[in-house]
Order: sequence, then structure tokens, then C-alpha cells
Amino acid sequence: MKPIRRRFSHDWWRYLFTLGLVVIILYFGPLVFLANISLETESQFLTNSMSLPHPFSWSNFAQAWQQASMGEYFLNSVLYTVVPTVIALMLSLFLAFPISRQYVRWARQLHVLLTSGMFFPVAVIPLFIEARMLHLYNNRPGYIILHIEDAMVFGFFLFVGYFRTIPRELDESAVIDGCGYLRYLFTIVGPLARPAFATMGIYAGIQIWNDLIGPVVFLATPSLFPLSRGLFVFYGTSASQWTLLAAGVLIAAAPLIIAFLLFQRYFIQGATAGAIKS
Amino acid sequence: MNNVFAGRQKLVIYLTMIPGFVVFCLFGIVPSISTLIISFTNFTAIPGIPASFVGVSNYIHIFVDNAQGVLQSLKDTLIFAASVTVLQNAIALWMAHVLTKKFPGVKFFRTLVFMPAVLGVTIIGLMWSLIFAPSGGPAAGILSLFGTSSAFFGSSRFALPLVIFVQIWANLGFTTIVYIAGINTVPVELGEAARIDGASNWLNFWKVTFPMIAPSLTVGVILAAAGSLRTYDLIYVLTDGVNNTNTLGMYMFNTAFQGSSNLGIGAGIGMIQFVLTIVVVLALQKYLARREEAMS
Repeated sequence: MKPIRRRFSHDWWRYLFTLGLVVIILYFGPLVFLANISLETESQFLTNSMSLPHPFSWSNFAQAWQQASMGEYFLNSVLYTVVPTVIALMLSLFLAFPISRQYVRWARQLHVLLTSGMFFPVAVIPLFIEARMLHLYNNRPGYIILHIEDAMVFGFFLFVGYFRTIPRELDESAVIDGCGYLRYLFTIVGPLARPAFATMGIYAGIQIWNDLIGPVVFLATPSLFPLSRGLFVFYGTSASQWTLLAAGVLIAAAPLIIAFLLFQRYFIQGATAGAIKS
Repeated sequence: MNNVFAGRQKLVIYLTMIPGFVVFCLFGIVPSISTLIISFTNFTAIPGIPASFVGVSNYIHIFVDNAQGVLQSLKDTLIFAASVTVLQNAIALWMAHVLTKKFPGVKFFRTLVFMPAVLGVTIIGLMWSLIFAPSGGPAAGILSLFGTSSAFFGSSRFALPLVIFVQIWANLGFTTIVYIAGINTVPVELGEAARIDGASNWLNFWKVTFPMIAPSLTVGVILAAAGSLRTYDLIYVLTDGVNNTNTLGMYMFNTAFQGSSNLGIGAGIGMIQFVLTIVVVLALQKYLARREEAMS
């Protein structure tokens, strides 16, 4: 009988060759091209963009950073991502814990209702009208508030499942020891649910960071734009300054790629949980 | 079930739930039911103009006055969604099949395929716009070797296929993960047994693995179909809906927020998109569920 466990699969070199080639060309290729273009001079791009940059035009990065005011947009993005994600995390914790424990009336109905929130149709037009009525249009607090709901519903869905793994006896012993609800939630449940928090925070955070329709619809003043729209505006105004655009795109992509490499596990968990969502 | 927290603590539980619930009602429930209501009004995105109910006149505008527009949009949507759903699932199935084998670098390849999910539509869209830049871009360079050229996203013939390509490129990793999870539930021994019996790798996949991952196929197909019928953000970056890429989502967005900024008509188009999505997804779900039963 042949041994069942081998280090590599039968015919492994064929897989490596076919899939490896496809993936490298299609997924690594574009990034390499981008890096290559970002280091070329404008005239070199127009004559032969595929050749290696000569001389290296490092100044593209500094110029793109300045010309696209990426620093400003970057700070906006950080604010728009961190604040709604943290608020959504808190609010979904407050909703998910008592509902998953059925500590409140109508817990089952509330569970169904809040989970169904993940399936609601995209409603950008009504949100725009609401934003205008509630003075959430074209200002930072408004933009932050408008991004809480999506992340919160996702967090709720994730946490309700996770809290089932925390034994009820823990609640009882906390009460017997005279621990209040909020203290219990923050000092006992919170640390126990850290993996779920990380999954929610990273996945929801990246969704908000990358949102482009949101800033197009809810913001009008350029100084309020996050990086996603700022970069898009730069694309519109820098018409055919492709080398600068390539540098700008790489600057914007770098933190995301680093975050992805660091938190890949959480991100894939979030995406699989959100599978049912999108 | 009875609550272990009592008295004042119970009140705290209810109080802390209020903000989240208000947010959910205000930005979840209300908007999702009001698209329909707005589609019967003449709301515009221009501030200061009062809005009133106009009956079905927005729908008359969409289907009668501007029938050409909605027909073209329906056609673009169906071509886009069908191509994306079929190709994305077929390629992801192959990728998952290979990526569940053991060979050097397999982890690296998984990471690479999944990476676009984190980059977002602006970066992905601009990156491909750059690669397909009509003058000087790498793709134009390759074409010029063959003595030809193309406007790529600016060409009415190639814009839609290219948009479909970028959409698949961006979401392939996600669908692949769904299938990898499915294939990992298939006992390894099954495949080994079939292989020892002389089944080729290909036959093995179709006769052993594929029937066993019917539930993953349902998830993969439904998600790709629902997603591609609704999405428009990537198209917005790549073409903004010109050159036969005006899917219903794009049409809705541009009607509501660009040009005449007619929110009422935009909401009407949004409702058409919503109904189409529901019908297609329910039909697929029914078909795939029956298929799953037949497989098991």
C-alpha cells in the first residue's frame, strides 16, 4: 500500500507550475508593474512603460503625496475608520450580550430583526435624504455616524454566536460576587471575546476605510474627504500623469497590504462570517 | 430564561441597548423601506426644492419615456452578472481544488489571491486603469507588439469584458475561500481510494469532490450572483457607466447623484434592481437546493 501522508501531493510540481504561473502573473504582476511605473519619469512611461526605470525617479512619491494632499486625506481616513468601528463595537456588544443570553424581553424576535439587518437592500438614496434632514451631510461627525450601522449589525451577528461559547455560570458567579453588569461586560466578557472583537474590528474597519460611494454621496468639501475619494479625485485632476498616480496608488495600498499580512487570519474569518452578508 | 442580573443592573442592560437600537432603526430599517416610498416622489439632490408625491410618474419615465435606457441597462446588468457569476465560480473552483493540495508556496498563493479583498475599489480600479492606460500603459505596450491598439475602458467593445475581468479579479479570492472550506470537509481517504483505483485527478475531482461540495457551490453562486447584480462601485471607478457598462446599480447612482440628480427616478431604478436581484437569487436558491438534494 502506498503511504497516505506525504509531504507534497502527487504531481505537486504540476500544480505549482500551472496555478503558480497564473497567480504570479495576474496577482503579483500588476503590483510589480505599478511599482515599476511609479519609479519611472513621465517621458519614460510614454515611450516604454515596461522597461525598468532609468534613472529611478523616487521624487514621484513625494510629489504624489503632496500634490494629492494624501497626508490630510490619510488623517481623515484614520478618524473615519477608527471612531465608527469602536462605537459600533461597543453598541453591538451592548446589544449582542443580553440578546444572546436572553436577558431581555423579546430576545428571540430582536435577534431575528437585527440579524436580518445584514440582508437589507443597499439604500444609498434614502440615507442621503436622511443625512440632509439630520444635518449629517458634509461634516465629520455626520460621516462617522452614518458608518456605524453597517459595522454594528456585522458585529452583532458575529458576537451573538461568540457569546454562546462563554458559559452562563460565569455570569452567575459574577453576580454572586457582586460584580455589576457593566463591569462584568468590560472586565470579564470583553477580554474573553477578544478574538471576536479583533475579527469584527479589522473586517468592518477595512470596509469603512475602502468605502468610496459613501464619501462621494455624503461629503462635498474636499478637506473632509478620506483617502479613497481623495485618491480618486487625484486621478481625475492629474489626468495622464500616470507615474504620479502609480506612486499615489502604491502609497495608499501599502498600509492595507501591511495590515492584511499582519491580520490575515482575522480578516479571512471576518470575510467568511460576512459571506452571508454581502 | 431568567436573568441573573436584577434590579438596577437590569435597567442598565436595557439602557445600554437603546443607542444601538436607535442607530439600527434610523440607519437600517428606515432607509431600507423608504427607497420604495421615495420612488413615488420627485425628490432631487439639489437642496431647497420641496418634494411631493407624483404617483407612478417616475416609473412611467423609466419604462416609457426612457425605455431605451433601462433596456440597455438591463442588458448590461445581465451580461455582467451572468459572466461574473459563472466565470468567478468556475475559476474559484479550480483554484480551490489546486490550493487544497500540498505543494511549495501554496500558502503564499492563497494570500496573494485573497489580497484584492483588502485593497478596496479605488486602489483596484485605479491600478487596472493604469495598466490599461490607452497610451503608454503596459497592456497598450503588449498590443503594440502585435501592431494593434485599443482604447480599453474607453472602447464600447472591450469596456464591459474588461470590467467583468476586474470584478472577477477582485472577488476571486473570496469565492475561492468558500470552496477551500468546502473541499476541506471532504475526507481525504475518499480521494486517495479513488486514485488508487486508477481514477485520474480530473475524474476524481468531478466524480468525488464536486458532488460533495454542493452546499459550497450554492453559497458561491448565490453570493456572486447577488453581489454582481448589486455592485457598482468598481464600475464607477473604471468607466462610470459609459461604453455598455451601465448596470442597474450604476444607472441608479448616476441618475440620483449626477446630472439632473433625480432621487425619485433613481429610487425607481433602485427598486427595479432590488426586484431583479430578489427574483434571480430566489430562483437560483430553489434550483441549487434541489440540486443539493439530488446530490446527497
